Amino acid sequence: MASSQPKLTAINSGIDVKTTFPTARVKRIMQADEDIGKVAIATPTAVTMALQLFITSLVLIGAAEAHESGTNKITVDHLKQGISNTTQFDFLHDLVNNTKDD
Amino acid sequence: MVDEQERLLPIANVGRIMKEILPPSAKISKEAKQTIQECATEFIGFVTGEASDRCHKENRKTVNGDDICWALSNLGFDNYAEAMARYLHKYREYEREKNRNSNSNNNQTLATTSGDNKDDEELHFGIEEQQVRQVETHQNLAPLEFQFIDKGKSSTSEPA
Repeated sequence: MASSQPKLTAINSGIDVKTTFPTARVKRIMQADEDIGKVAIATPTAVTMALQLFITSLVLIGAAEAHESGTNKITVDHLKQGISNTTQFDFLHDLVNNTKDD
Repeated sequence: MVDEQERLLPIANVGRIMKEILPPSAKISKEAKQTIQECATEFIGFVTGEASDRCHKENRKTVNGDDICWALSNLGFDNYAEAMARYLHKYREYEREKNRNSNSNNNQTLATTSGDNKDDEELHFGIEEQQVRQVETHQNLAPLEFQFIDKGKSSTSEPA
């Protein structure tokens, strides 16, 4: 089945992101919403993993758009383009559309 | 008074991930990095909110890893949910092993990584840190293909 969509495979044919996030900060951000109650000890670690995947996706989308426009520097506009083309990232539309281009 | 930077994820970590996955020649503007920082922070709230709703519906007070996994799947991040399900499975296996070992040998502590404070970005929970390293070295995260559902724009369909 021919797909008109680019399949972006993580660079090393497998996510190998070693950078993590401070657990306390992740937990604090999770609980910034008053509706959120307690958080199990291991949960910020699970969220960190999801973050690694998410940020990787976003960076790759931006890189693809930058490559498209013939530059090797990712700008806000590239991210906006990539995000608006990606249904998965609909929740980010308002956030990025309020961001100034650089 | 909440410092703006405290409400977001540390931007240095965002930059580090970028360096890990892109070639050295790639660059990113400061504003784009800040945008990713904001988006990632928003992502946490988005997923956590969904996970928390599920907890409330089931009369549970504590959000756990399964809730996060479920929320990812429910919000359209099936690819992440799959990877996380594998991670959680491995984590639980690890926990069971640990409990078996500690039953037979009470001197075994989890302190092996707790002295490793050189990088304060590292996980604070010794168990999880070992487990994350284990996952990484065993490449348990299978190749993830990010498929982007296009809304009609086909500009990227032609090779350059």
